[in-house]
Amino acid sequence: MATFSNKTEILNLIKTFMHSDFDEDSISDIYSEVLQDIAQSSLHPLVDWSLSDVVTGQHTYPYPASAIKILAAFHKAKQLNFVDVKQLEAYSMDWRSSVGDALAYLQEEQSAREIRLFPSPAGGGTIQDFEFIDTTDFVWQNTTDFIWQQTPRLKELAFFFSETRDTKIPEWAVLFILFEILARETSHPGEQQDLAFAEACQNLANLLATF
Amino acid sequence: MAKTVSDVLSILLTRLRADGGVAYDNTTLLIPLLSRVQRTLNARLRRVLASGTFITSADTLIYTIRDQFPDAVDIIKITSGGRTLHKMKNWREYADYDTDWFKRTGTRFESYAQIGRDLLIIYPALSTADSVEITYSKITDELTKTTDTFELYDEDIDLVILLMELICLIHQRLFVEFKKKLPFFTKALKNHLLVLR
Repeated sequence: MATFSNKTEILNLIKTFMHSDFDEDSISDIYSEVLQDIAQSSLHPLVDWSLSDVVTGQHTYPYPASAIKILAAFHKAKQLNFVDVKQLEAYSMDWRSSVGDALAYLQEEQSAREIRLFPSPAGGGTIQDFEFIDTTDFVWQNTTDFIWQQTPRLKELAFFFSETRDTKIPEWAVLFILFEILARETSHPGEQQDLAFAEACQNLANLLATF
Repeated sequence: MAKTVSDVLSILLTRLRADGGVAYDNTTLLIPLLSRVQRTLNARLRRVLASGTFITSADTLIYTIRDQFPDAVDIIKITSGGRTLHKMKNWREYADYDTDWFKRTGTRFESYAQIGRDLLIIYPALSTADSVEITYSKITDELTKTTDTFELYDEDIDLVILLMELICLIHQRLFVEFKKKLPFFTKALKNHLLVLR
């Protein structure tokens, strides 16, 4: 048991509580559901951040693959305001043709898993006044007395987001996830249904959710 | 003296009337669960702390905590050059007064904030690589055998036993007993948290 757990370990733990009534597909679906709910919650969601390139004239950018909720977006390190279409239409019915440094972002279609920048990035081929350093591209060199980095790649768009994960599940969240899954799995109709068991698991999960 | 896994198992199994561990396997079930219970409780109680040097990069104020401290849960304190940095209650406060906060650089660190438990903001960025000292509540070490000792203090071990009892009662499908025991745990947890204030 390391500092982090993962989906496989949690599913194995569930087996010890479910005895013979273990439906792997159903449990796996509920695992995803629970992790998505954690990502939507305000209590200790699992979060990460990522960087993207901005392309001149391109106004939509996909979510990071694991993202559930965008917590903040930055263009050239300026935090963008979250707006909706009605706010922009109140500003100008012609807002879609605006071009310039992005000031805000919106989600036109939730299902598209992308955000739209407003105005559309102008770019222009000149060196920007600020860009993020992509630390994932660093080559770290550790000598006797200092650490230095090599050739960072520069990016313009950054996201903070809550996410769902199958790995790097923090140990403090494992018991909550375990009992939340057990409660859901044993509460729906079927051979595995056990309402008293589900209620007990839910009571414990509710308590652990605040940890 | 710190309690051992054996001490706790002895009390637990007596309460569960399962002396000898007939219904439970220590190695595959109880000890791994005890380990997780200690970790879960310490995330809430913040009793077991650790500290270390956190390396900061030039022109950067956002960090993934686990890259340097995979055992960190909550950052309790950060100091830089002997100064304690101000802890922001919510990272969104930065944007409340400055939408350009994410590119601010300065001559010394002033404050910090966590986003969830994964990301750390140390504000403002410095133009050179530097370091700060951090103190954090930790993921306690894994318990693997009966002679291992708990890192939680003795006065918190009653919570470990109560939470383990609840988990074992669910495992045994003893729901009446579970319902009777649950309020004891919630009350004890509340009392333990009050001590910190």
